[in-house]
Amino acid sequence: MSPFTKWLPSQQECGSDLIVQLAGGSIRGLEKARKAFERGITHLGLEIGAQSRGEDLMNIPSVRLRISNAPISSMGHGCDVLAYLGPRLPEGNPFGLQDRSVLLSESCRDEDSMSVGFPDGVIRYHVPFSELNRACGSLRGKGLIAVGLLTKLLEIPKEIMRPWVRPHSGDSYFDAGFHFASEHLHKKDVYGIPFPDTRSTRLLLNVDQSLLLGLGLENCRCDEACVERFLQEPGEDWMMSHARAAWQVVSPVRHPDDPSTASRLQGPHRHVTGVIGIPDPTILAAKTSNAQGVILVPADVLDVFRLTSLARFLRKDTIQIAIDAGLFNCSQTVPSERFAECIRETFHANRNVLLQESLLTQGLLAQREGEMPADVGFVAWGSTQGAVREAIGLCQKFGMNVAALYPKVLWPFPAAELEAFAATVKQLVVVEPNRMGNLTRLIQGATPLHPLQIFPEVGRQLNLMDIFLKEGFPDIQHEPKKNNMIRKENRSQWNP
Amino acid sequence: MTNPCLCVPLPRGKAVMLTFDRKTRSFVGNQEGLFRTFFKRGVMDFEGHRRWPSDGDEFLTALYDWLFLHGYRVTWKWGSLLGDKRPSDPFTN
Repeated sequence: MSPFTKWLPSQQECGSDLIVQLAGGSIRGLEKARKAFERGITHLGLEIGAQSRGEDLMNIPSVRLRISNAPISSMGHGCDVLAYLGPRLPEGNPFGLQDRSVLLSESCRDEDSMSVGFPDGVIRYHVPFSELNRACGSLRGKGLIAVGLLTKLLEIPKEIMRPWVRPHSGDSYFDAGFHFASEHLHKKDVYGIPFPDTRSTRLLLNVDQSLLLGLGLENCRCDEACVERFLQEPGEDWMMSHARAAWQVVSPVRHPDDPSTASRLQGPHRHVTGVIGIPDPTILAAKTSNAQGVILVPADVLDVFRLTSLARFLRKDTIQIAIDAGLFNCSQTVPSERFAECIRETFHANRNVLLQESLLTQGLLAQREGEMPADVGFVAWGSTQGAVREAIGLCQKFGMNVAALYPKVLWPFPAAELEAFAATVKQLVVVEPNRMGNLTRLIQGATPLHPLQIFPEVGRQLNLMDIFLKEGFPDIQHEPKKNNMIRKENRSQWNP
Repeated sequence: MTNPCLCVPLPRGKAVMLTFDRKTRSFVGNQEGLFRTFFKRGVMDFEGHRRWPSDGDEFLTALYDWLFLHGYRVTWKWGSLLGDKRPSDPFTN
């Protein structure tokens, strides 16, 4: 997708987006800013995906927001606008700024950003965050000041964004940022958020809410009328009432082997458990391998809700919904109609055993996308599926012959599905969510296949460029590359 | 000897590039999967001839036309091949 600009009309069919990052402040301050920004953008009628990250990126807390006029399936690559709230810019361009990115920061000299390794062409705005913050009377309002600045800079109507600032005592910080941008920042960049003509109804959901609502549906006595109410009333009211009911029946549990970052939420009948914060879902598969358990791996926030609500129809003792690191602290806009479809699906299945069977056979089946047969076939579990979907779209635009398989079930391992897919592609490529390579090992242990692998860069999440610009397939197999480019010396190799 | 290079910019600072090394008559690219597709099926030029990689410059010109006609913001760059001092920007003008 190309970025939103104020001088080119955004086109729904092409899709445009903007990647904004806030970094360097306190986590609480950044969270306040994130909530205001994501709610304002949702209200404006655009799609948004947001993710907070605290541990990677050189231990600098950050919030990444991707705003688009088309459905968002991943957090994208690069960074268009960075508001850095800390006193000193980190070295090495950890936020992925590129030529013509916008940087809002305290340090006022261009040499400061050049000396820390930011690329040429970054557009700088000097913002005295600390001074503005002190003038408002606190030390934790930089995030909301940044929201005010970005509202003005990206030409978002102030009356759309300001009501979402929470608590209301934060209004003065928002106003300080907006006022500073109006008075002192002369716009030098091209970015601007469009005001959509039509507003479709959508919900802003985070992973925890999605899991809670999915687990709570197990005990819900709602009917068709309830779904209709969801579609007619503001969806947030329905969500709040059902989340309250769900909290009465679900219970947080702790597993002795889990890392400290992981948390579990168990459904009312104790056989469906959502696991959040496990760095690698294959670890769960290794522990489940001898038991009769099932591990489902959702791809996005809506998928968390859908798989959790479907899981109760599986006749297994232990069903785990493994939410991988790519979805941790993530929220997304979800079309209300698609959310309602998921609720209807499970309500109808509640009353009809045959429907349950078909839901389980169809609903948990791996999805296939792309050409058949194909030169390259990607296989991805969990949140990496979003980046693969985008990469497949880009490859197809260039006329490449590619396909992808998106399994929902990690364990029992879907060996038959995978082998059937591999038979239709010349080269199978596993898209790993991290650099451990466990998915490939799992595949090699369960099938005779020898796939290639794609890894994310160290300390970053996988994005579509990692996949699109990956080399080594389809014909050059298992040859480690020493540099980024490929040289073919023998011209006869290129002859048909 | 300068070498012709096709460059298709992608959003956010990325680009797909293919250079023809006239000395060794070989191609260097950063997206092998994509160019291999063209290498295998050839590219039709404006005169109706299918151009193959062994045609060198003609192949690259036909590929430029194909990309341009398909709406890509393709540009020519001229320069030495990678392996120079700045591997991230190998095409010095």
